[in-house]
Amino acid sequence: MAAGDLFARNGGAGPGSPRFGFGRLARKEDDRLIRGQGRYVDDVQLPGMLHGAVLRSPLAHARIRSIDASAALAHPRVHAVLTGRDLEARDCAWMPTLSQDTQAVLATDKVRFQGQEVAFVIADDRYSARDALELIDVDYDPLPAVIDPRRALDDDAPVIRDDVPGRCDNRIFDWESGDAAATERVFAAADVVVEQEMIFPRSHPAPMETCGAVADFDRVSGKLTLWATTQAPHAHRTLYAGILGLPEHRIRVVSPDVGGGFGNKVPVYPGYVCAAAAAMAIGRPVKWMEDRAENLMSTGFARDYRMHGAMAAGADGRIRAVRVDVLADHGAFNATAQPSRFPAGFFGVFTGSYDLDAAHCHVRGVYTNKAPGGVAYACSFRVAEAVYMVERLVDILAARLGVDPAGLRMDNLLEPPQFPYESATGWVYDSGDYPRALRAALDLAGYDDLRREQADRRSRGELMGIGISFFTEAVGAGPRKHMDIAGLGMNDGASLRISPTGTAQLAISVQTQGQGHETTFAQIVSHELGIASEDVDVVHGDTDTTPYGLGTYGSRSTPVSGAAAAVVARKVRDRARLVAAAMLEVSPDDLEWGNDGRAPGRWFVRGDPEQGATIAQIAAAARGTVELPSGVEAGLDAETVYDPPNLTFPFGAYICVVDVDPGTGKVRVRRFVAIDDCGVQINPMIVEGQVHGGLTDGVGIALMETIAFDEQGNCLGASLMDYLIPTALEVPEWESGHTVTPSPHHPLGAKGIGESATVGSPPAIVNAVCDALAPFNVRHIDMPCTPGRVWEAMQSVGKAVPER
Amino acid sequence: MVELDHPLDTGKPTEANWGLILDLERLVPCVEGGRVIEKTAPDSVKAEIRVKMGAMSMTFTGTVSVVEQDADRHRALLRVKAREKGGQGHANADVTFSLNDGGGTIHTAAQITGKAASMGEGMVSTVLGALITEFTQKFAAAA
Repeated sequence: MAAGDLFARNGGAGPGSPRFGFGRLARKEDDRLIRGQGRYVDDVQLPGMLHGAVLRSPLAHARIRSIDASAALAHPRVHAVLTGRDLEARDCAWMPTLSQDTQAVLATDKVRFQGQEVAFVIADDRYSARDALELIDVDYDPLPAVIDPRRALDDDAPVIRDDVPGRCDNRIFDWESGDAAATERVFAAADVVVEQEMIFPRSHPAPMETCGAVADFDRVSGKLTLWATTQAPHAHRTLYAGILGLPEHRIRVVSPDVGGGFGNKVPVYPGYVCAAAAAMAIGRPVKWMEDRAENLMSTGFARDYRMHGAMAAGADGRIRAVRVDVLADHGAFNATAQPSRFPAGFFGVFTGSYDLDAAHCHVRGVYTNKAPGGVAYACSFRVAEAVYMVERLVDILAARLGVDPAGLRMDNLLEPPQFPYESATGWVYDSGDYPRALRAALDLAGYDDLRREQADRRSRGELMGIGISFFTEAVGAGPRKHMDIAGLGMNDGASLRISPTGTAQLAISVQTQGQGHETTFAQIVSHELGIASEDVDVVHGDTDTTPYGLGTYGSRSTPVSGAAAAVVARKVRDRARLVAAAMLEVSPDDLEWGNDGRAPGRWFVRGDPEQGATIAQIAAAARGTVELPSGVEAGLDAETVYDPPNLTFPFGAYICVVDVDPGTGKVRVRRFVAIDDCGVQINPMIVEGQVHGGLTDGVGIALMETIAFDEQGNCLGASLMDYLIPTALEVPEWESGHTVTPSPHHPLGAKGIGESATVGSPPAIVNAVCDALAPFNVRHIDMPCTPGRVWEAMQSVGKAVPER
Repeated sequence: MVELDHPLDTGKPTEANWGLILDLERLVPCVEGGRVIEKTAPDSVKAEIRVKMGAMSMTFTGTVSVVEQDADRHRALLRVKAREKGGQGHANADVTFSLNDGGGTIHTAAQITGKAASMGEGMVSTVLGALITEFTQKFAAAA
């Protein structure tokens, strides 16, 4: 592959947009989204609609003595106030989480985090509902709170979940992976061991659109329609049936345009349930939309992993083993969305991109008096934490050995012949050419020149840092025999309807939140059937009109649902062959498929290309009067459910260049080079967009974002003044490129890209910051590397930095 | 926990300063937005204070009591325990006055929870600092 293919940089769609198949097609959804004509939950207006607002706990931990809502009920515009007691009467005060735990919809006994839902006011308008919140008098008896997860398992720690009979501590789970004894043996025999305690702080997805719902209960038909900000409409519907006690087929969940998800919209939130319960109780539609502070303080956060990692190596620089001990803060309810058998998600890929002799991890999950969550923010089921840990350790090892971190990685990366590769923790990486990706990144960055420039600047007292990360992602959950969420196997469906005029509607179970599904999925059908992408409309986000499936998160859309779209299109193509044979009065075996990506695809008679029919012609015949062979039904419609045989494993090599202001400690990301390999790319422009977004996320996480708490459990990050998210000002012009290593088991060879950049970029940035501070003997700085933290680290100059 | 120290400059004799400290019905109104609702004991009052914090306005009700007094050294510890209307937050503070001729010092150790606290300690200490500074001026006039 020529270098020109590798670095197709930052191009737009342009006039050469392909009509058929893969390529840089302008996004179909952008026309409405950019013009402000998207239709979001908050745009839904129904006749007679009322508005709800949630009263939240001001305290992190307190017993509720009493709730007096009489003054709120006396407000002339208030229709009702729901409390935990009211929901108890309807048997929905508690609901299941996605991780076999329960969560309070409205608090009955205690509040367990600041911002927890305590009451729900329904009024004529949003303003009155908000005003009435202040009229509710709640008498709280404050309790000591568990804020530091390291204190959660102390003998005298207050028990947060005393609602669970028999529970007497704050332990959620202990989970191990790998071979502890073998790992210890390798460590004992190793020439060099490095260790580091590091924190992946609590961050928040902070999507532009906050969470909300509009519930409409039809008392005549007994059907509930719920427009909701959700990334998983079908899974939510199944859960609502249990929570609300409604038959599942009488619930319709509609997820219209979603203004960003990043995992924040995977869980079921109390507000959704309150809106539904209120609509059912009052008999009028109810809308609830949270504000920015509510979104930041109470909805699914990400990460919050405290990791103690260790790496063993030979004196020759060969990495032998990795060991890690993790304390995972899950907040007050275990509401993380992980496949059931993976309480720490896919953290098991902490062996990274290297061939290890042994590895072991122990993850301990604990309750604290903080908001529940843990799934979100393009975390790819905890791969971000795993990659950060191992890539920081590689840099620490390089410093210890006094070798170049690029060379150390190159010497230890898995080699192409090793694939499919089974890692020391049992994950089978499908395909990869890691050295090629790292070489491409080093070339694009001009690595040797950068090191020379760094030496030059250092001699002048300037602080320039170069950071590298190499990551392997694990996405596309998953094979249903291994992976389920709340008991639902992680498969996705697709249904394809071909009209007699040859246009198509593809209904999918995944849901776009801005990723461009309406474009890429149309391109998949176009690629398989040779009909123009503009003739394929994608239907999604409505449980009444789409097939069952688990939804969009963990970068699973293309690996799972994209495969389903390809498979269902192939079913249509196979059926079209039978119909074409009847039309042309030949045997199906005599037909050949022609699809050059420039003209409509067609079945034609082998040796006589003039004799043939396009899909449109065949579709007309299939709905017409052509006599069909026995067993062949009219039309070309088809359905499928895709069960992936394995995860897909995208990978990439990132290089970050930072400058640190020696006076203020402020870090500026000067350059960022990203080589991604997500297998076959359906729409390279969308791939680049996903990468650019993820890299921006990474800058925020590494340098700016953290949800902090004071000792009482007050959330200190409840506004965008306190919780800093990156803008165009904080990021450089991205230098992105790619290599292509197809997945051997995906029908299209595609691997998915959504979360790669968010996974790969934080370690590159922190590695660069630590590299910049090498003259100060700084070994590690925890994220976010704010000016204050960097400046403090610089003050350690000359002081001994502890080894091991 | 926010801890603040303020000088108190009244230009009045020690006994005048000391007398005002112990007279809660005169002292509480020296706090901007503060008023006594009723006297519940010789050393204790039920009071209300309305605080503006940026765009937010909060009303706290609670008790102010003199819990320690050392007439020889003119030191007194006043304890404030307050709850925001509707239970949306709590504000507790220990305020130590050390008085002398012409004024003295005020040490405040405050613990704020709830809505106000989520604005961050920086915001809380700025607002509280301004509140106490204003208090010292009114105190000087009233002593």
